[in-house]
Amino acid sequence: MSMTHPLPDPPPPREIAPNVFWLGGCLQDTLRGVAIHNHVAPFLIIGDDASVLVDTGFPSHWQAVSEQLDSLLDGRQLNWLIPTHSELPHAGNLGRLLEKFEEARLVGDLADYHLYYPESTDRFVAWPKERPLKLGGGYEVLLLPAPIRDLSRTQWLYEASQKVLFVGDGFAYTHAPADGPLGEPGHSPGQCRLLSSELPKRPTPADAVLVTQNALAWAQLVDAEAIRDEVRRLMERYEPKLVAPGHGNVIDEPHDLEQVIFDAFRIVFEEYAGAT
Amino acid sequence: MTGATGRRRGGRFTDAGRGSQPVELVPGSLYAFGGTVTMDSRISWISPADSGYQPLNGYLIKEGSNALLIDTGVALHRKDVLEQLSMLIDDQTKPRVLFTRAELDATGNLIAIAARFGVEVVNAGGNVNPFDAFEEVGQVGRIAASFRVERVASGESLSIGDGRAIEVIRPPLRMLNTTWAYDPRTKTLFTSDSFGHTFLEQDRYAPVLTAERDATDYAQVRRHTCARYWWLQHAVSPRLATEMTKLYDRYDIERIAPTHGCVLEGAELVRKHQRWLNAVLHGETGESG
Ligand SMILES: [Fe+2]
Ligand SMILES: [Zn+2]
Repeated sequence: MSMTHPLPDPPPPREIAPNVFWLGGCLQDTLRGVAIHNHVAPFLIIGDDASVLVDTGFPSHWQAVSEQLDSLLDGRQLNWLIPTHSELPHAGNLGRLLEKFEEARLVGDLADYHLYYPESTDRFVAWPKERPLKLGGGYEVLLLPAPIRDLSRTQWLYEASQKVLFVGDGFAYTHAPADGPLGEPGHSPGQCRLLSSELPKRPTPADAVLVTQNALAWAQLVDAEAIRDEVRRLMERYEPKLVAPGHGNVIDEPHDLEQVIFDAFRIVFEEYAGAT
Repeated sequence: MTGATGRRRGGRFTDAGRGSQPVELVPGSLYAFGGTVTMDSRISWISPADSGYQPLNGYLIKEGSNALLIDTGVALHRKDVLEQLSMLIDDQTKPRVLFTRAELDATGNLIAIAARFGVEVVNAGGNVNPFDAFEEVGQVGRIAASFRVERVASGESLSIGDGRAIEVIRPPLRMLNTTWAYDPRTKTLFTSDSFGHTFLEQDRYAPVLTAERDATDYAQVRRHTCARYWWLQHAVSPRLATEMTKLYDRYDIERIAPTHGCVLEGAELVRKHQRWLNAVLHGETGESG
């Protein structure tokens, strides 16, 4: 793959459930001559008393993410920062966010952050898995261990009132950039803010193979069936209405996409095992 | 395992009472810099079963007036890293930087080093890949800085200058997009987040382990490797260990220089730890080789 296109302009945020917003933008890439997009998406949850930002946006999207936050928060403070993990596409704007929002605190599994942001450790709050972080107005967030992940201490999040599961690197897939001509400057947002069921073409395993290969190096080495069981247990327990990946369109058909994603894992695994 | 008492002791910057010192691995040619961190459950890549101090390293390769840094250490060690590099690099030298990964244990002092010494080129392995975010490393701090990011494909050499070059390697074992490197002049293999299973008993940056000082056992290699590479708890394709062996066989290796943990000094110690790591990749749970 090679990134031959500049970053497309991030589309405006979408409210995927009341007071739950889909932010950030897409990377554009070319796969066998065809342009594709892949999201790098943070999410904002605004309760009556407090707000949470899940992931931080891609460093190159900072200007857009910063403006998106300003307009959605509308003068309120951002209270909690919860990157799913410390990798740059997920936590790369953490330093800028800590500077911009003076009351914001990093909360959750704090692994490694004391080495990376030593000047901010007084703003770190360790938070155990599955203890509700209450935001007011019935909104509450639970941290969960992430079954699909790269870094070992990755966390998923679940907002209980709207039943949204935030899955970081899980459920990742690419999408076509726009309905209009490709590469047109200032192209319309096209598919970037569509839910999975609204996409003109349903996501297939092929849409998930590329990002699975690139983002999860273990996928070719390990049969993901054991991990699938963990995902199913989580889905049965929480019954999310929406699954919000960092790298894919927000999913309103979690069970269909679970099938697509694990079909992609199987393709990646079998391709490697079969190659000489 | 206090390290640093090997045959190269004479080359270290011994000056009792001074602050942290860089460690000379090969006189005039190869240095380690960095500091130690307390081992506990706040660090993701080690098992909390051991207590002690783990060195986190960057490396400096010097050739004439040229300097290449391989990784830059963590922000927690920023002051020490800048001090140590000031002892090794003069103001006229603009170091090049090769990153083994785009994570903050490797890139954490890039902006500070660039501000002090000037950095124009940052190298990363492989092709441009938006998923690994190497093109973003200049933007992560509170101050954005821009560098020319040049990719070096696996198997290609990266010139340091004055006829010296290192080979860039894509290792079969990796969590994120990862680059290893081999320096034929000093027979050193730079292994990023692999071989990060050793540590120190004392809180002093003395990150060299020799065969005679090595008290590592197989269980230690396994628990720390599996802390980083969590998916090793599942059955892993046997092709992984086979490809690692092929990689080792291509190079004459006398020293392993990881980003986490001690430098493994000497061919005998290198081979022992390579066998252990391969046993972990094979899923062996008990004592081995
Ligand atoms: Fe990741
Ligand atoms: Zn898009």
